[in-house]
Amino acid sequence: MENRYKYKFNIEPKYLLLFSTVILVVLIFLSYRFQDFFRPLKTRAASMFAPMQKGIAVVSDYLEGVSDNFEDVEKLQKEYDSLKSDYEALKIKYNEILTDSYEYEELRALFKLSQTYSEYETVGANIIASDTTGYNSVFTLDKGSDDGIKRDMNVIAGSGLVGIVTEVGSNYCVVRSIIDDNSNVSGTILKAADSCIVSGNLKLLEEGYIEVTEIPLSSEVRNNYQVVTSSLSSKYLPDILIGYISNVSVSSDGLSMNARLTPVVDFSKLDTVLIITTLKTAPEETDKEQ
Amino acid sequence: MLDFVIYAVELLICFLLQSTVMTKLEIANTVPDLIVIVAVAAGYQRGKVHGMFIGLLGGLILDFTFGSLIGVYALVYMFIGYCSGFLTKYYIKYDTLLPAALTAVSEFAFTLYGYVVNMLVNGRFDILYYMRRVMFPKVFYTLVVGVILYKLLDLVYVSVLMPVKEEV
Repeated sequence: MENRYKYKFNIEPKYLLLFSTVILVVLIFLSYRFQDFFRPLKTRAASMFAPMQKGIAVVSDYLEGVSDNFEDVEKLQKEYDSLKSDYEALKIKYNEILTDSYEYEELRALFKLSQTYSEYETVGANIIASDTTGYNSVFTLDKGSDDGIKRDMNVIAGSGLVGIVTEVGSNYCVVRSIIDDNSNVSGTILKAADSCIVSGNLKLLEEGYIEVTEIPLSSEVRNNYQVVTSSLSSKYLPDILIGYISNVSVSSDGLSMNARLTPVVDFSKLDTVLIITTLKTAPEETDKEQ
Repeated sequence: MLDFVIYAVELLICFLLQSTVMTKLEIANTVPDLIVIVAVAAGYQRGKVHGMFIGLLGGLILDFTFGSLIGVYALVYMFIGYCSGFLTKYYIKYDTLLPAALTAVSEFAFTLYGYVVNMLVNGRFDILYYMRRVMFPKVFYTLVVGVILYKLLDLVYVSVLMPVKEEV
């Protein structure tokens, strides 16, 4: 035992560092090149943490509850949870009705809306952990493949689109929200009936906006027009509300228009979301999205 | 071996707190980086090899849970832990100044690296903006939390690991 201990530290630390660096760089390239091979390894390792994170989330929620109420906390909490899910469902209904009444004539004629997202089957989930690097808007939910969650399922919260499932473990899944800089969603501007790309942008987010690009120059887009997910999208289900347009301007290359978009979802207060268990099965033509 | 186990447990606790409780205690949209504090402590208290492996482990945990590629954060934390090991000869019981400075510098290096792998690759060139928005708040918050957390880690080190080290 002592020999092994000594032997281990006879290697010069700098060679150990060099060796590990080479291994890691190779690993980065391999995990980029062979994503399908590494994904299960990764999710299996990460699913160890999910129950612990969930436990902490439950405990901290519970403690928050205790500090608010002294009597029968559990009962109130349960009631609160059930009311909350009802509330989310009602919010969707309300929003849908609002959208419909507001633009009934044009919408029905232009798009022949066959489905609205309240008809999709959803699973409720709680956010148990979030990315902490400060640059990404990625979070973990407490539902995984055991609950029927698959990659690329859309995530909504009451009034609109939150993001998309990027990784699924047995007991957790990772969601990239639409305000993340790596997120690109193809959308449709209602009323103007034009296509666009909605991208996250940390810099604009400080003022509460994300970015809309590639609006055709011919578009008659105005402020406060609604943007919904496009039916052309390969991963996002159609007609999910994303947000409202503002600050329309011609892009620097003069070939299209840019705008800002205020998301309908308040990402700072998010803690319960709904995962749509219907997957989009469109031909893969718009591969711009991630 | 015991020291690695203890640092790993500290790392696990810190990662869990960081990704859950700390995200609810956000200040200026940033969360303190507890992993870097453990990596720095391991390097500063025990040397390059310890710092390196604890940093590596912490980075791998981040890569597995939130990263898209394996090894990206492991790489930077590994170097942070290793570099902290250069100061291990100046280790003094319950000293706060040097580890605090080390934490601040390391966290700045980490956020800078984070800017490169997350933002620069997407063509976001305005580094000064991201310094103001992400880097400085995060460094400052980590420093404040780090001073308190390091005290605890040092307490564990002095009371549990130091006696073991002297026996060997």
